[in-house]
Amino acid sequence: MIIVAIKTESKKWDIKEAKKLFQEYLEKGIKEEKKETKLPENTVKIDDLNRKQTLGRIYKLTDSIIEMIYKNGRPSIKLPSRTSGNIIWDEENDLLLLGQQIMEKQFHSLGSVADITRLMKVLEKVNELLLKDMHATKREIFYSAVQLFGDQKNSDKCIEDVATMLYTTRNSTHIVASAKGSCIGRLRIRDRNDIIDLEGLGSGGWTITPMLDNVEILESDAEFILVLEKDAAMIRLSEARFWRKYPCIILTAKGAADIATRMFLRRISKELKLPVFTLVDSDPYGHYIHSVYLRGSKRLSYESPFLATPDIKLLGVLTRDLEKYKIPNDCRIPMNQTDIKRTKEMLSEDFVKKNKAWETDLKLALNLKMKAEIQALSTFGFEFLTDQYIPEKLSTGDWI
Amino acid sequence: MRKRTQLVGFEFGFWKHQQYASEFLDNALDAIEEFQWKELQEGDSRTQFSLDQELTLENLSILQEAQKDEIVQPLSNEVKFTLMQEIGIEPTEPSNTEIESTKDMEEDESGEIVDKEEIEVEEEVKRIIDDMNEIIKPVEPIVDIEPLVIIRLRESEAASFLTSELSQKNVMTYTFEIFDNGIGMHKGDMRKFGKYLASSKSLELKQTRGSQGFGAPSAFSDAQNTTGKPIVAVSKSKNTIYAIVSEFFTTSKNEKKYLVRPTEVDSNFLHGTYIKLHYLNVKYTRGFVDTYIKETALMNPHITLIFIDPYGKEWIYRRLVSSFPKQPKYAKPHPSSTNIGDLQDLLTKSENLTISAFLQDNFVRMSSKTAKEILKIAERNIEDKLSLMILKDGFINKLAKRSDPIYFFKYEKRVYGRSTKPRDKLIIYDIDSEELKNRYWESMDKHNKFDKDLEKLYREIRKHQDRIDKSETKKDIKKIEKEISILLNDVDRIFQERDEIKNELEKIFKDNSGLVEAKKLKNRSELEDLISEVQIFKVKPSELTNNQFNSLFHAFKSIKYMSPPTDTAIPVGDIVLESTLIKEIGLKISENIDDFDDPIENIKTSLDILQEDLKRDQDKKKIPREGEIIEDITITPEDVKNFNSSILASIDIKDQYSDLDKFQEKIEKNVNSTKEVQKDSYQEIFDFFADTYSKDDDFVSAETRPPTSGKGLAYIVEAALAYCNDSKKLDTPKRSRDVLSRFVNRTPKLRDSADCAITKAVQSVNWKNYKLDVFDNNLPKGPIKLLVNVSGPYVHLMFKSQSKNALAEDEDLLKEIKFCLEAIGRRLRVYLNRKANVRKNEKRAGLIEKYIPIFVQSTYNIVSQGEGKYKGKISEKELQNLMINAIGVKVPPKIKEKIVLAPEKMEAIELEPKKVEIKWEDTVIQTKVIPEKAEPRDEILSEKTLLNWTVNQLKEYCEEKNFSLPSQARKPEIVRCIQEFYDKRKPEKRIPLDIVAKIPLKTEPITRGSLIEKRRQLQIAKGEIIHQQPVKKESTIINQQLKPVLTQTQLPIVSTEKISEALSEDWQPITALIFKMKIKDMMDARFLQIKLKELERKGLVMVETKMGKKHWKLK
Repeated sequence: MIIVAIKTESKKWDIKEAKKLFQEYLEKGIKEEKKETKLPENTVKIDDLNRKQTLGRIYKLTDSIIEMIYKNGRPSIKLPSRTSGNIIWDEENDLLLLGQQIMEKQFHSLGSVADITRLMKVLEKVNELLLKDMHATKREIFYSAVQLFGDQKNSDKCIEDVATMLYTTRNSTHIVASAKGSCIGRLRIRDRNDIIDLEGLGSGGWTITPMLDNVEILESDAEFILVLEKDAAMIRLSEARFWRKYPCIILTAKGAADIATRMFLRRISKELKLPVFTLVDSDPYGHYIHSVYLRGSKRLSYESPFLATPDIKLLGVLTRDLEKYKIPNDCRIPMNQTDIKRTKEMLSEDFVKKNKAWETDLKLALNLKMKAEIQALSTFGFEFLTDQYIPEKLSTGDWI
Repeated sequence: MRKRTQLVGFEFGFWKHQQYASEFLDNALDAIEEFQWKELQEGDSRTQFSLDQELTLENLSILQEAQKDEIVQPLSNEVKFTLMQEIGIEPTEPSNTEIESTKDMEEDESGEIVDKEEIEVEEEVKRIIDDMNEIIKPVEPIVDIEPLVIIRLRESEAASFLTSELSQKNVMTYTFEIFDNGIGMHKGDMRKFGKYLASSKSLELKQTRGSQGFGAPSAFSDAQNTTGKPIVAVSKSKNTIYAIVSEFFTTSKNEKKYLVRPTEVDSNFLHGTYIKLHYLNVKYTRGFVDTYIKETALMNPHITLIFIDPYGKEWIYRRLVSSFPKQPKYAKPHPSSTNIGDLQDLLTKSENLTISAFLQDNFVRMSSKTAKEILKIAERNIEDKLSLMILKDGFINKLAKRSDPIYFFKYEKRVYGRSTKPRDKLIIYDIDSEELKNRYWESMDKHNKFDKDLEKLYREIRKHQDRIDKSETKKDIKKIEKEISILLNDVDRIFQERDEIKNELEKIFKDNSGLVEAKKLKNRSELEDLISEVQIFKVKPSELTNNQFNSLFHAFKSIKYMSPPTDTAIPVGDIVLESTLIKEIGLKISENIDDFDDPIENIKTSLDILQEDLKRDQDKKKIPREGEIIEDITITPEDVKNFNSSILASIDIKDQYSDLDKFQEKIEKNVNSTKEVQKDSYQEIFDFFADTYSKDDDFVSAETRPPTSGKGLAYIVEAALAYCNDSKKLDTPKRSRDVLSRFVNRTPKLRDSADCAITKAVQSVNWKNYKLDVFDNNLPKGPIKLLVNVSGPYVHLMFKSQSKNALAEDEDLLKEIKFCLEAIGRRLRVYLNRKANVRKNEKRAGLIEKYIPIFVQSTYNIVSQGEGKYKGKISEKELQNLMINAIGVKVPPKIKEKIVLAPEKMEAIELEPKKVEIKWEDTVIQTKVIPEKAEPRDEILSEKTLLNWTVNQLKEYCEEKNFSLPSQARKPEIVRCIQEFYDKRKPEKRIPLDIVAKIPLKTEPITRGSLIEKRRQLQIAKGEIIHQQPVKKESTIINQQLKPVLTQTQLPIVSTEKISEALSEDWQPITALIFKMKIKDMMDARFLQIKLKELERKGLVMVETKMGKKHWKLK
């Protein structure tokens, strides 16, 4: 007996609002291409450098260290401070940036002797990577001197410090984070010599590579990019072949956004001038993930200009949707103390305050003290997400 | 009869050994001190101990000396001879002082005498003397010039008569010998010696170790009770030719039974006492007697102690200080600390005629006014007690019931008995007239009512006092005390009103109208007794009745007295304690920690002086240059400091301290160059010296509290704490009781430590605040030694029990000790913090060093792989060395300010640059040759110290320093005067001739001089001497002290010729020679003795010993 999958006829939504936005972005993108983004004066300027430039900076730094040793035997390294006090939100470009506070790591001080030695070790490794034009993950760096680093936390910190120390991006140091994101949809790229059509990769999609400097974007006819928080939603959408019906590129970082995914998102949205929508859980963590895509994390604030994708729209799941779609109480989860605390923290951020709609939504969440996951929508049927929820929102422009 | 041993309590056990040692050692120390004080008082510098020499007893060994088996040391007498001349004992002109008659005074001996053959006695005496000489011979050269105590304890075989039970306990017979060169005893003293309550010390109550006269007699009776052997005592005072030997038993009748009657013998010491006894005790173990003596030595560093234990080990504690403690003043008891028994004793012994005189004579803080007041209260008490009232003209009885007969008593001059002259006679009157009776009752009713009121008030006061005991907060107590004082005012008021009634009654019975003499009274004699009893002011103190005594005591205690004077308590002194601990433990102290407290402050003061000098010199210079007009140059301390800093600025301290010449050179060079000025150089230099010298230092600190007087007792609390890093010198005590040594009047207290107030006070200190660990019982833990001493007269009243081992807990005492320890604790904390810092720095250096190779390798790798400008030009080793060298080097402080001296000032400084150098060199050479002696700390006393002194002390101090005070000055004024005096003196003391030359002079002792020189002195004081190679004993002493300068001009009357003149064919004792030679001075007699010995050794005279005395005749 042959069991034929029941395919309910679903109507095709006219995603007119999304299309409108696509037009806008296209025009804006062409305009913006002409003018450079100007960073505020009191911030540190970080450059995206090529291999040779980075090497040059490394030698300059080591020379100065040797000079110091010859002078009085007391080397020290100066680098921009990455404490939260030194992080500035650039309102104009909607970015988190690093201020000009400098800290000095002295070798002959008990507090920083370990730090400066580790920095030097990482610098040595970076030098090696760049010379050989190779990439390494953070983990690899950690294992190159386990004794010295003690814990991967220390080496990770140093890796970030080395990038700031050289006033360049993490990417330029050839140390990459293991990427876990995947992408699917109407996009064709070239990775070194391989041309990859992201439409023809089955339901798994293409795994975003951390070595994005090898990737070239070829063509796309998508009208928008959809960023998902979770792999579960990705499976839902890829099974439904969502991009066939609505021309789009779907992207997920499977949880928190890693650098490669963010960077890739930024690249495709910039190069293809597409509007970006995020679909995250309706909880403070989901909102936070959205904000990271939007304007970068605090930890890597200095790289925000290269990682963040401004003007992302938060498509869902919004707190107000819980009422609007009458999601049953069974599927709602009461907020715990950490959630409430996080929500309040979010509310105190400048960029949230500025976005009134977002602020209202978070406040509503605080009032209801309820959260829900994307999967809560499945209570109306598995197709609800692809056939009803997303298209409806896209057509009505129901986003933040 | 009560067994006498129970009085002090000698019981078998380890403690008994210590008890013997302590009883006699305390007496010995007291005797030595008393001798020295007496000598100092008399100003007789010839016999007093001279303490200004450093004493070395490195190669002294009494045991070895004794083993030499009486080899006569040919030198010893000669040494002594010269010694005596050295210290000034020389034959002098005959003086008026009479020598005490050396002939037997034929006084009746109270003790009985065991008859013995004369020959036997003579042998006995010889044996005793030989025994004694065995321990004295080795120290003979110093026996008359050094305060000295020798104790020898020997073990003999177990006594055969012991029962099996005792012998199981490992009981042995011990021979205990003690010798001191103290004041010694006269014959009269000797006779009393060994009897109970015959102590000469109890006559005058002052700060002594023992005072009651129980210790030695109890020890004697225990000794003879356990062994059946007699006690031997040899004593000689300065003023007798012969020492007196006696051997005796004490009897239960408090008398002595002589085996050897007091006999005169020759002795080889000028003054002192030797006692030998035997006792039975369990086997000797260490940790008791030796500890006791060790701790005694700590508190009595002015006396040399030698102890030979039964195992044959010698414990020698040499004298460590060169000053004797001050003599404590005689202290009368304070009324508040006198209890009923004491008062009774004093009253019965008193020879005063009136109570008022008695009170004033026997108590401190007792003025005639106070005595009167006491009597008044006593009178009032006894009036109430006897229901009598003293009126002006007579007496009247106080009655409560109307039915009782009223009597009026009066003394009237009457002729009675056999005498024909009128005498005072007590006449008793009946009251006849009703009117008088009514008036009497009117007053008496009022009086009785007052009595009732009084009772009520007293009851209420008592209630309040009960409440005080119960209440906890101070606020409550104060409140209640206030209420009580209101009540007391009421009481006073009632007393006044009662006195008014007295006046009224006086008026009533003014004349004899209405009175009828009552002649036939049955109880007349009773009434007469009453009348005489009520007149307390007329009674002799020794004849008080019970009622009178009780009223008197009540009155005596109910009055508030001024607290006792504090000058009766004499402390050991913090400096003495510190130096003793340093020398005894061998602490490594480069500089007293106090001096580092604020170096900048010190400099400031010295700069103030400098500035004054500069100013004065400037003024002087004005005069010769009259024609020119020189503007006033005002030099602020800041300028001077800058100038000095400029000298120091460019000196690389690190290299220079090792090479002093270079250091000087550099300073010299920098005197004139003021290009770079470093404001912080002072601080830096001090830091550097502090770091360099005090890094491995041990810590010692002592604190002497100002005298306190509370509850009628005046006392001083002092404490010292040593912290030693070297575990060889001072191990961390494992038991808490080894940390703390308790002393009372310099006497160690080893027993009952947990009960003692000192222990409690130490426990009450929060030692963790001062970075010290604690034991479970909250005593401090660590490589430390803590000494606490409480000194004062009447300390025996502060003990918990008769055994005098633990001080009773008194609130004031606890507080004093706590404050004292906390003061030390604060200093300790500074020290320990500094130590912790040093350790941290060392640790840091190690940590940083660990990272250097990794860092350098990374750097090197980058450079060698890349294209930097240092590629191929560096080596790892070089970089590593550079970085290692940089560890621990302080970043040179940035030059904050360049000081530009105003032109005039520059001129002033550069006036005579050439002269500067010369002067500089001069001064340098001087300081090199004669290292500036460390000034005694009390040279310039701080205001705080001065304010802590009493007015009397201040006045004394002023007299010492030879400057007058305005009469009637109050304390603050005196203090101000003293400080003005200092200010005046300071510049005089330190003015060199040239202005600029003195700048280096001033900076020099602070930076290099004082530190290094003091350090050297200390090294000399503690290290070198201790590690000195053993030298022949005589030679050290001779080398150190003897440069015989014989004053030939003054021909001694005791010459060899004269002696040979006096000697004849017959045997003559020395007394005969003295008589013949008409020697009248004691020292001459002593000299004769020595001279005779010399002649004897040369074989010029013949000698024979009869009855322990030497007799001489010509050959």
